[in-house]
Amino acid sequence: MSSTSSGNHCSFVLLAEFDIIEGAQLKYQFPQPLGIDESVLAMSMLPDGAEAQLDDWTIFFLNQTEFNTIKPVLALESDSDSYLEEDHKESGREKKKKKKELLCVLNLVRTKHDKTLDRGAKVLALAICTRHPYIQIFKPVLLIALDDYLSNPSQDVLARLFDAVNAIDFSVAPVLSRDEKLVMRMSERKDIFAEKHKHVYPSYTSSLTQHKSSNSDSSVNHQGIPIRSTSKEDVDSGFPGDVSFGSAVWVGDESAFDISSTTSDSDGATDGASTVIGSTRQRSSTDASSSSSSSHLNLPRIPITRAGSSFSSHDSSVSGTKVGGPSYVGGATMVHDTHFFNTTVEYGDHKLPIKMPLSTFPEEVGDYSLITLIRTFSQPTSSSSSSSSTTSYSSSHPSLIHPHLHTSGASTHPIIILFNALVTGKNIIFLGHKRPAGEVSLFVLAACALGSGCGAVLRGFVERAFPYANLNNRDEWESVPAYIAGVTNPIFEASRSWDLLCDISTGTVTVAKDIWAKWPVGSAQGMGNSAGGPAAGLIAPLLTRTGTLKAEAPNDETQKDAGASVKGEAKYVASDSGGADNIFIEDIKTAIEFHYGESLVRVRFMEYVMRFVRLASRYEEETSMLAPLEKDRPRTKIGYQSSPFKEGQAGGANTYVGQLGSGLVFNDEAMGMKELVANASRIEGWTGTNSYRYFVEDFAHHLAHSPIRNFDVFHQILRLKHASGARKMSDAEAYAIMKSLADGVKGYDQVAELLSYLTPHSGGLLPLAFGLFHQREGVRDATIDLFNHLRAYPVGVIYLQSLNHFQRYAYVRLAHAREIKEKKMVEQSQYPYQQPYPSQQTYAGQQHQPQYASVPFGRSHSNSSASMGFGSPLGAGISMPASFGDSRLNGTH
Amino acid sequence: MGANLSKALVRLFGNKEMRLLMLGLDAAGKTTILYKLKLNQSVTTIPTVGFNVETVTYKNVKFNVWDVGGQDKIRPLWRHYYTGTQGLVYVIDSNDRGRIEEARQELYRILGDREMKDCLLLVFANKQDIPGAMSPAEVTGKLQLHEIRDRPWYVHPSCATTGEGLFEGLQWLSQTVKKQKS
Repeated sequence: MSSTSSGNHCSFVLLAEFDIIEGAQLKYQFPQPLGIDESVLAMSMLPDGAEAQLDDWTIFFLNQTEFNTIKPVLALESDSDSYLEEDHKESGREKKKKKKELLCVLNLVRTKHDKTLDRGAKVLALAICTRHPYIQIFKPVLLIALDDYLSNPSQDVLARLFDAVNAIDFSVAPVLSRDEKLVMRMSERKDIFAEKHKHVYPSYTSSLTQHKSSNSDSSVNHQGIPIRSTSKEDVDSGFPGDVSFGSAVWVGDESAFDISSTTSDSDGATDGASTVIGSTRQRSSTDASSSSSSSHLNLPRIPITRAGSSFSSHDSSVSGTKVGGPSYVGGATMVHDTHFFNTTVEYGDHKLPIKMPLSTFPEEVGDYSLITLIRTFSQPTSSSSSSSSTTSYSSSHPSLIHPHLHTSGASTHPIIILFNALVTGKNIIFLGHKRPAGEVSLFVLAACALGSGCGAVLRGFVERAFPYANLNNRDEWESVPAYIAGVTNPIFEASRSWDLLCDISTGTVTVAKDIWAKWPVGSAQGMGNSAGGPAAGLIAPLLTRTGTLKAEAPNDETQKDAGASVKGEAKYVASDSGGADNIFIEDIKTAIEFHYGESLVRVRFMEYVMRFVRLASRYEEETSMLAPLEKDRPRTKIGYQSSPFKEGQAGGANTYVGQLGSGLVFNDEAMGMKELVANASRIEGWTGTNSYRYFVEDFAHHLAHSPIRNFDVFHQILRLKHASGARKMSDAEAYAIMKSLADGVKGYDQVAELLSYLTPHSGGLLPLAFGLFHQREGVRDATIDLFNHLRAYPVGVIYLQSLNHFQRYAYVRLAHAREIKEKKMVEQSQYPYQQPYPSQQTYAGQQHQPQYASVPFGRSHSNSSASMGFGSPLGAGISMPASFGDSRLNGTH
Repeated sequence: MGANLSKALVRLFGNKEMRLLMLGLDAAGKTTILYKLKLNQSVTTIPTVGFNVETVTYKNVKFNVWDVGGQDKIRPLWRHYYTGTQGLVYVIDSNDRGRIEEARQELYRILGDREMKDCLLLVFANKQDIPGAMSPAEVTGKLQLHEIRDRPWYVHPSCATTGEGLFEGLQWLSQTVKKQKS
């Protein structure tokens, strides 16, 4: 990152002006000419209808294809741009070799009305070319610079802008790995990865390290001090192991309890005041001020307090955390969202704030909005029965139902049609007549995000996207396969080159009349052919099925014209093949209606695309199954082989048995096959595209380099989430899963990868936490191991905190109990011939002690009664929390 | 049934829709003409960066009028609008004697395009309100329109700001296109 710290944010600055005699002209290129046809640049910068907008933004890309590839006289490409290096590592390993990397151009067009001018106005445009996908951050500086240029038209302005942008300091900005980005974007918490913001939270990070390093002495300091004395001192106070365990989660758990049951706590706070625990408790109720002055030992706990309060106030992680917030930030006064890196750009006397998003993937450019995209194409008029004015063909016309696009027949939702068109590589145009070019651009960028799963799943969309395209070089961009173009000129409606036209003014999606001629189904590229004849066996029934749909659907549609959109959709929810998609879209629409944010919608679409890819992988297996299989060649190149968990030969109860499942295994095979059938056509369509080829590479890369090695983690999580019914999880599988996770997830990168599969909105660690209540000790132990590994990292702590009380408590208690047990083991080994009783005497007065003592001897079963639960974790399973509650009550009263 | 009826009407009354392309050098008055026709108002225009398109209905004929910017460097874009054009409205700044030759060259370049071979030519000798403007006859001569034999053409004096002459031009177009059909 250091090499990017300054410089290289901006590669070029351009200025174009619409000369009243000459027309669109590129006036300046700084620092040197790009070597691209000047008219191409000038016309991209001065969009159709620019004179009707006072200010407008357009976005376009360079280095996509021959006509817009930069050929500077002097090569100023620096190969050491580490931001890009980083991106390339994740997404474009081979791209760099083959072609130059994409440049984003952010362009500001302004029409300045001025009666004194010859024709009453001046239209000019200022643009910067950057490699950063989050181009929106440069908008303010561009506005200022254009003002500057208008008052002082000279090339100096370009130089100033160039220097200002390149002087932006991102050197201390956190650099996140792919997995970290995923975790960040799925989390709404504004303190996620706070530890990475070293410049803002120096105290936080240092305290963390302190905390880590001082673990041992703090345990020394607090030997014998009843750290958790508030409510159950009698239970805990004798345990020296407490403090060494006493990390964030432990205390967080406590504070959560403080909030939920303050009365019992205050009752029980008999002797805690003089100890650390006193301040902990105070904080959660009153002290924003005192906590900042409290010792370093407290600091790690502060986030927990936040968690506690945010927990009780649901997801409002920051607004609800008056308590933890200020003390957490410590010296920094600004409320900060760790999703962004805050810095400034200095242009002349202006100091403009910049919020650089940290979890942006290269495929998501600009401040696009999926919500706007979905809203626009979910209007009642946007039902697929609408028609375009020139073609006057409705897309639900039987001949316009295409299996690649209409995966739910005639009632396929326009957004799904768009998605299908994107993944199957159709030519797509977004038209916004009399709309600002900037608006059209954002639709194109949103479509790229839609197709790529917000850049997290697929790629290869941006490289064929022309967010603002125009007539000038239409021949060139129209010849780019699978282009996604935004235009403001309705002349393109009459063009023959598009397959799908999305009109943002009317919200209609129109399929080209000759779609069947251009995309004959049956001559499917990729799989169909490579698999050869036998594959047709599976494909054929798939097609018949879509065929039936095709025949039925238009009838429904024509019968009830007006109400069709609603009723049709409802019907399709019931119909089996398109059901999933329509339910999904309905779900998203509901979420939008209920004002869920863009980030949630993005996550949902990311998951949708992931699901699609996994289906495709399974489909590949199924179809190649019918072909003669060469040995050694995996049946799918885009996913793990699908196989359920295979139990191994019976071993000892605690040995590692069986082989983990992988790939996409349906809970209900019949339903699953139906889903495959419904997806077959678009999967076939996808296999012929670039984004498929990229994904093959990406998956190979994942196999070779993912931090968690040698098993399909996502499969295990799905199993934990959905293991029910016919595929109920066996003990052996539960053990195998938890054990491999505990063994495989230890380092930070592995933790990040694991968390990247666990979306907070669908429960976060919840599926794993069930392992705490498993009837087998081995499973519980493995779960504790895993959680202990998570707990070593702040991000893991955040995830642990978001578990509910019940689960957190179970974890803390089990972990604690085990620690005690281990301690005893140590003691036992130190005094090998001692009876358990002496140790009990050491802690005389602790009534529960015998249980712990008993543990090493494996007598837990005989010894643990339900009401005296602390020894029982080893045997009692799910009954423990209840028993714990008992002892807690016993302690307080 | 509705569709059949409208087909019958089309047969009776000729084509009810006509696609026009309005071209000319920069600052000839194209956009002013378009919005005078559309809104019956004299609007102050600024140079058209791309194009304007409006539908103007006159005597039951729907004119789909495309007005495309005329600056030198964007003239190459004109060709993209040729397809489907039934009438070319070529606007001349009658006061700009210096560039009438340039206007003539551009006109013949347009008419030479294969896509434009069937379209009618209407020339507005615009800005007649300016004293000393070229008369329609003079414009005709300078544009050497008499040499055009392969298509109907018509020169009409106009003043975009007042609207004089504009509808007469449209009148000619709709009548001529009807004649052509029959």
